[in-house]
Amino acid sequence: MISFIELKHKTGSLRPIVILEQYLNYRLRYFLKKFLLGILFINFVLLLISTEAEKIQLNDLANFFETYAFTIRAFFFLLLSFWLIIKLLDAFFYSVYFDTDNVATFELARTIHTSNPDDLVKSFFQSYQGKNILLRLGVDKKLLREFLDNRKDTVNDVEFEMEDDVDGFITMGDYGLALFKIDKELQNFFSGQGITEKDFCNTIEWVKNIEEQKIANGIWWTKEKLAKIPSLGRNWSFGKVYLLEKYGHTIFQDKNYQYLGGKDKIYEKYTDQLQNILLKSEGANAMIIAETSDIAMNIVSTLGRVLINGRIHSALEDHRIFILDGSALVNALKSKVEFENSFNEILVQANNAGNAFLVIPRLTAFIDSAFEIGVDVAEVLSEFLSSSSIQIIALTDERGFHQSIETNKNLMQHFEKLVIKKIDSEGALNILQEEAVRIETEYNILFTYQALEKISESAVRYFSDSEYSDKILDLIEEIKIKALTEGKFFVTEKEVTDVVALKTGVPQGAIDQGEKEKLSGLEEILHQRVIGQIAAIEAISKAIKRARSGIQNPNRPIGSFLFIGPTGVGKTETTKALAESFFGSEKNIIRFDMSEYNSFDALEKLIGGTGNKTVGNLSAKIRENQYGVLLLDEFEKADKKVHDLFLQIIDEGKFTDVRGEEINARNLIIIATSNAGSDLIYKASLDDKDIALEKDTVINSIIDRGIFKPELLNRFDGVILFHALKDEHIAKIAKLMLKKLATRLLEKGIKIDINEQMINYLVEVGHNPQFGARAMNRAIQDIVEGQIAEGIIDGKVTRGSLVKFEVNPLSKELKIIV
Amino acid sequence: MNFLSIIPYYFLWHYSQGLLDYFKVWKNLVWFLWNFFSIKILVKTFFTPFQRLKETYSGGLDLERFATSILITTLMRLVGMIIRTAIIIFGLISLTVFIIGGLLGIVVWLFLPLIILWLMFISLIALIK
Repeated sequence: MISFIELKHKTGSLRPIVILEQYLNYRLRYFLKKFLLGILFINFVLLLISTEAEKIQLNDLANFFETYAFTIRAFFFLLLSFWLIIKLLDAFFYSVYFDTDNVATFELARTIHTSNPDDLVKSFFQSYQGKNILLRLGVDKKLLREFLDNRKDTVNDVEFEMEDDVDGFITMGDYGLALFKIDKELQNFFSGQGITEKDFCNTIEWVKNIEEQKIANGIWWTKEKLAKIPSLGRNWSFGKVYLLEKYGHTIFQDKNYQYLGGKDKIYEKYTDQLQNILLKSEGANAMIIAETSDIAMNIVSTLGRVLINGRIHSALEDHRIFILDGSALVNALKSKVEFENSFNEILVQANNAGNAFLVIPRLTAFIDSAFEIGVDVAEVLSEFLSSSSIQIIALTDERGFHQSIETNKNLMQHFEKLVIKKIDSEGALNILQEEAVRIETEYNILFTYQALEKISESAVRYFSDSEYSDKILDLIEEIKIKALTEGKFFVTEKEVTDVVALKTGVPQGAIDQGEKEKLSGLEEILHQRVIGQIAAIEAISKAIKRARSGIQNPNRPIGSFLFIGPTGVGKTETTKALAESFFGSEKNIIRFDMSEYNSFDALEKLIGGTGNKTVGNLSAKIRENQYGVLLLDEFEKADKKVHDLFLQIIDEGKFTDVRGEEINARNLIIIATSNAGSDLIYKASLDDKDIALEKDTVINSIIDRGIFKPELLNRFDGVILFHALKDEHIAKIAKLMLKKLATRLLEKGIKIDINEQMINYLVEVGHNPQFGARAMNRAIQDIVEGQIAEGIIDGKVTRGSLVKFEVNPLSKELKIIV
Repeated sequence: MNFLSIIPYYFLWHYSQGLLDYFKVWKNLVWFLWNFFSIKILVKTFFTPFQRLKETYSGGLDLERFATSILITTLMRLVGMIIRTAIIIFGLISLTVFIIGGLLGIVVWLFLPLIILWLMFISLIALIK
């Protein structure tokens, strides 16, 4: 354990520059250096003029300078001495700051040596870095001040102690964490602000890195920085690659390199391995295998950055990286002979150049398209793969590699594999932190730590269609644009959730007052559309609330339900109401009639076929619209293999289509409907039994009949029974349907009078317990809509008409009265 | 904490770590000039044709093509040698000047605190007068 006194002692070597920073910080020194240099330059020009004025006999000017020349000269030397002092203090600062013997960071030393020993926590947050940490955590300054002033206990230097760091180097993060662990009140305060221990520690590290980077930018004399200056005549000794320039480009011209952003930090470790492969004496070719070919290209781009920054191995420093445009080559040269000759010439020129790394992106696609015109790429390449003058870096995605390259022994014996792992959330956060700082230096905005964490989290949950690092960078870019257009300075979690909600249609973030009211009254809203079905509505409402609160399992769909009940009792209507309440529109329903998927090729139709390379309907629809309600009508009629597929989808929230691509179903509410067991439900309704009490009987019967497997039923968040409709329900439904008709008629300028007599008649005629509300719908269509339509055609019903319906006492039929 | 309290630390640094840092920076800059003028690679490839431009001769008894090939390749080698010589000489001169300058710089570094004090002193005296 380390006490505060020991900590002070350990940071003692940094104390002189802590003092220097207190009185003359580096920003002030930077300004003074520039200012003094400006004045020195003016002074120097004046001195020159004074000498020249005498020579060209400008008497007045010469007299002026004669009087003041001495003063100007004295002033010049005085300023020069000040400038030198600042330069030396700078050198002193940088030397001590980056001294490899330091056992703690400068920022920690600064905080420790300026702390009030009676209240370390307050001093921590009042320090320069402490203030920055709070800013990045989005903590309200006023709240913090109130908290700091009203604490019961404070942490003083005597009671402070922290664990020894494993690597012996102590950072602000270690110190902050120690304070956090000691001070329970601080923990509670942060917890109230939604800040976890991990958030706090990561933010401290991030702030420290930003500060260190700023200071490191002031140093120009390191080997790494000097190596960035391009040298003279280096390329004179190497050959030209004319044909490669036509059918390819250098890495620095590649889009991937230009959009690399902060991704190089993640991939740099792979470039070390890549360099090791390329350093071998001959036949040193690399095959980079990643989730996608673009990710593999990121490694090459990072190698490009390492090369230009002069951090590459000295044996590789004169090399140039060329990217072959395989598709351009195949498109331009249609015949086998032409293609073979040109491809061979490209390789000859690259070989003769003596310093080329030839990158072949999307190797599988290149091999396949060349094969179509009868060219065996591996054979053309084979002559050059053993050469020491040219090195080939082939890029491929995992699927292509396993499908067609791995088994090609002739090709693989010349390549060494480099397998790239997927980026994890920590890696993503690092990219975002660097990108945020880059944006902040360009624009007047500031990202909080929580905003970046939300971006990283949302990218995984909501956007699964592209590379993780690209998704997060696209998202931060969109958030930046929104913040700039709205004139916002702080980019917090809310700004992120707003953009994500806009892009996906899935409600996000904190629940505002309007939404709070909507959610609490959700059951009533749903009941306005769905008549009866109290238990079903209650279950759905609960699921929506759970999903909206963000506590549901992120690795499963938002919700999954099996609606069981007879036809026309409100299963589809509930789905529509659900889509409207959660996603804002009924349009967000992806509907499948599962009776179409009961043949032997049902699975092929849904996820694609291997033989004919068709795209599956389910894969295509979900890829088009990842956010919404997936409605599986008549689910019991689907093939058993299809049931198994959905068992996996509901369980894992994803599935793999026939092309091997993973499809994300975690942003869907899955609703399967079924008539299975509706005979039992109907009977229970006739006997006036409570359907909830009959649930087990119905479910057991469904399992016994072999309609659904018990494990499938168990996977659903809820199996919901819809009871048969009674007269009172049918009457309400009739009223609802007529109201909808009234709205449609009003658009045409026609009014309709909806009365009890009309409703009673419709209930009498249109109530068919077997078909539920569907029968009522048909009755309204036949009786009401039919007569109005006739009236419109006959010209009796026109714009401005008021339409009434009455039961004719003689015929006992409902007749229109205009 | 008094600002002037850093003065002893500064002087200790100036004549110990500061001096070592001076050598490090000097070494880096020497390396930079060596690298900037590509001296090593230009010497290593001194006789290589300029940008590897050469006429390839595929063999057989074609004296004219053989002669053309020899002539063009020799010409390219000569062009390469002349340009390389110019850069190497310029680079070596720059390096020599910098190394000598760096040695003089050590003396300046050792006396720099005194030089600054002297500059301040004489300029202040001059201004007061």
